[in-house]
Amino acid sequence: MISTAVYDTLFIGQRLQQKIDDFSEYEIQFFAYFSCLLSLYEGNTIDKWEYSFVKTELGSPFSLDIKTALSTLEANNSIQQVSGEGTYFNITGKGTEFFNFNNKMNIVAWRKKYLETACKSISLLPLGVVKEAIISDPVMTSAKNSIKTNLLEESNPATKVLYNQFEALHTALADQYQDLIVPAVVWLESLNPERVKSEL
Amino acid sequence: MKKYSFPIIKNIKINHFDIYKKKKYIDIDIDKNVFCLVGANGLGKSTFITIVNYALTGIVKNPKRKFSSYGSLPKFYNDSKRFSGDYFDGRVNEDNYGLAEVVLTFTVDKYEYKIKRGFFDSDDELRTFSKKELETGQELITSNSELSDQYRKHIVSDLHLSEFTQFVFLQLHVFTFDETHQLLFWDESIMERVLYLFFGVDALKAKQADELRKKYNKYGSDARNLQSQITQTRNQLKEIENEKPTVDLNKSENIELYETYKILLSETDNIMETLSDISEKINHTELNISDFSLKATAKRSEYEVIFNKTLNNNIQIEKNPIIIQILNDLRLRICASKEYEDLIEQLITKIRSECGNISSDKDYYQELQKIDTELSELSNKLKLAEDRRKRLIDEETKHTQELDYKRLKIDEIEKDNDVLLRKIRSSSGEKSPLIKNYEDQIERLSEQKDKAYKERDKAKKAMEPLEKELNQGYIEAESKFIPVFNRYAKSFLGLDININLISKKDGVRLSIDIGDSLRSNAYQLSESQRYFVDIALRMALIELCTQSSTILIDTPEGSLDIAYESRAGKMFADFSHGLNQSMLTANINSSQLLLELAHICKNERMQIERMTEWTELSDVQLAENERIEDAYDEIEKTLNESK
Repeated sequence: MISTAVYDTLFIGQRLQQKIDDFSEYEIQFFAYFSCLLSLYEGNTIDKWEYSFVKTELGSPFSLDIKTALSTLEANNSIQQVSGEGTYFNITGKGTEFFNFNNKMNIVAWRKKYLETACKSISLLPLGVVKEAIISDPVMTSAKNSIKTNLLEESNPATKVLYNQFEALHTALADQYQDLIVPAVVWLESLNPERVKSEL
Repeated sequence: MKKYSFPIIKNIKINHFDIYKKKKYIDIDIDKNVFCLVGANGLGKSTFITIVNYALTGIVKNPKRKFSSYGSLPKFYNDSKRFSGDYFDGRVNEDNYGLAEVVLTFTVDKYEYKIKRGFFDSDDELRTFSKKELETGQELITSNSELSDQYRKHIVSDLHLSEFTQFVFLQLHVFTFDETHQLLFWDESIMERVLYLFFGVDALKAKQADELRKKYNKYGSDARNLQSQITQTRNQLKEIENEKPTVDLNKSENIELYETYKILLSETDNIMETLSDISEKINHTELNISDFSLKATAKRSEYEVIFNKTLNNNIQIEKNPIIIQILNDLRLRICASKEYEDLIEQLITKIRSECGNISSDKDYYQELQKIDTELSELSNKLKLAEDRRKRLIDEETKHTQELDYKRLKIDEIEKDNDVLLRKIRSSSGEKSPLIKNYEDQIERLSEQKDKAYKERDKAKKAMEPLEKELNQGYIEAESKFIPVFNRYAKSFLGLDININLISKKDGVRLSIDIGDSLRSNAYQLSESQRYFVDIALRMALIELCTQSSTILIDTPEGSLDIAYESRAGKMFADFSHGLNQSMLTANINSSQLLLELAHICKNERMQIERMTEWTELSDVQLAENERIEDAYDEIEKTLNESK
């Protein structure tokens, strides 16, 4: 099991719990993938994220490491299923203690801003809009039409298109915003302009 | 003593060869000493000879290349392999590429060989190969794999040669007189190899001589080229030295220029020193980076192990998969009223073992924290080292650019002011870099030249014992060989003719002596005289050194003076008896050669195959063919005359 996948699960779970009371596996997977994209936007390599993603049959991002992290956290009582809601979880006291401990570690320090920004996006845009935008990114769109399941491979032409979009975004914003949330929101809006208009 | 046994051809089949349009399947038994294929020009007579040789050797000789251009027998064989496809392309239609093939049956010594070869098979593999003992009929090839390899091994052994390439070489240069008209007497590179194979002690020595000659020629040629470069460089140097320096050393701008030049030289020295320091620092930093990275990877793995222990610590008992399994088994046994004490035991043991694994979360946290701090330190060190490397590389690039710039300036000054610099240097006893450069070059070339000559002399020295053996072999054979050659040559030329073995530093060859003059140069004999003297030499060599043979001669009458035609016919007839076979192609229009041959050989020893049945004729060929048919009838009549 990869420690960063466990940390990311608890981080995203904790933020979602603060905003919408509980979280599902799908949401953890989804925000972990979005966080990884934001790390790429800032020029980090794909390998640096430490775990990878594939597409599910339903066309959403999925990481086995996140799934394993969720099962283990449930088994050792760090998270628990919400009664009556089979697929939703919340973090237990033990989980919170474990998260607080991990949150102080240096090895996760660099990724906090990506996780934070990904989760913060739902304060600025409706969750539905964020989700739809992410599954419309060039990599996910290409994966829908392909039999290949691995996402974000360097050799994949769709990954190159994604980098082109990021480069355009850097140029357009002239790197003038310190906070990553600005380019994140601009990018999400650019992926799904119609839906943004109708929701706002 | 006859050393070799060469193939005697018994049957040839040619299938789907499109230039022979009227005959999809050609099948000829050859059971007489002389076989003559007769037809007009352009019907494929030369191709027929090439097909026979291709069947035997697997190659076609490229008519545009001289043997000397290959340098050795193996190179001649390997390079020629690639040419066969080009040669047959166009003679066979595209759709028959797979079907076109030649099947040759021949005897060597006491064995009968039968081989089938496709014309376009890329791997040089035989399609079929069989060999049987003539006396008992016993088949000697039992495996069907790697037939070409088997064929090569068998034939080399039965011919008493040491290499298949020697057979290919002799077959195409001695046993075949084809349209390329490559003559032994007037091609030293062919002649020497032939002499070693026929008069040397054995075929293995001939192979050594071939390799040594290749070395000797290569090093000799290298040394000559180097000498020519040395002479050229010396001349250039002389020209430069002869230029009279006409500059005034006391002129202020010249003094200034020389000062600038000296400063530039000193600065480049300094930069090079700095660059050497930087390069050392970069190497050191890279070592540090590798070291920190390795340590960080190891620490990270340690972190992951402890982290996993933390997660799996104190997992709820009801979620432990082994305990779940035991409980399920227990339920089944209880429900089925079976004994279950052993499962209770297992359950207790498992729970006890889990107790031993439980450590305090605090301990794990402390360990994780410690590793995390260490990782953080390593990460800082790594970053610092990477920053340092980047800075050093930037510095290196900057200094390299500066060095290039200064060197360019130095080059410019040296180029434009060589005379001035030389004068300054000579007044201070120094040499100009340009002159020094030339002198170094001459010295380097001289060293290479000496080395090449040494290698050439070494090859020559190694050849000496072989040459001695060849001389000995020739002298021993001379008493038999010269009369045989003389018989053939005189029957053709009508003049006394003698040959001598001449050993020169660049090789051994045979020279002809006609009457009193030594006619070793080609121009001293007419073209047709040269061809037939060469054929006489081949016949003498074959008669002396082989027990059996087939000589292939392509349109011999082509350039023959009428006066010599019947003499040439007699020469062929003299050769073609016993186990010596001649395979000729001829355009018999007005030829006396075949008439004489037919007259001597008659039906018992000679057979004729007409190409009229093989292919369609053009109008010109038809007109020519009528005359050929008349001549043919005459030959037929001669063949049938009683002796």
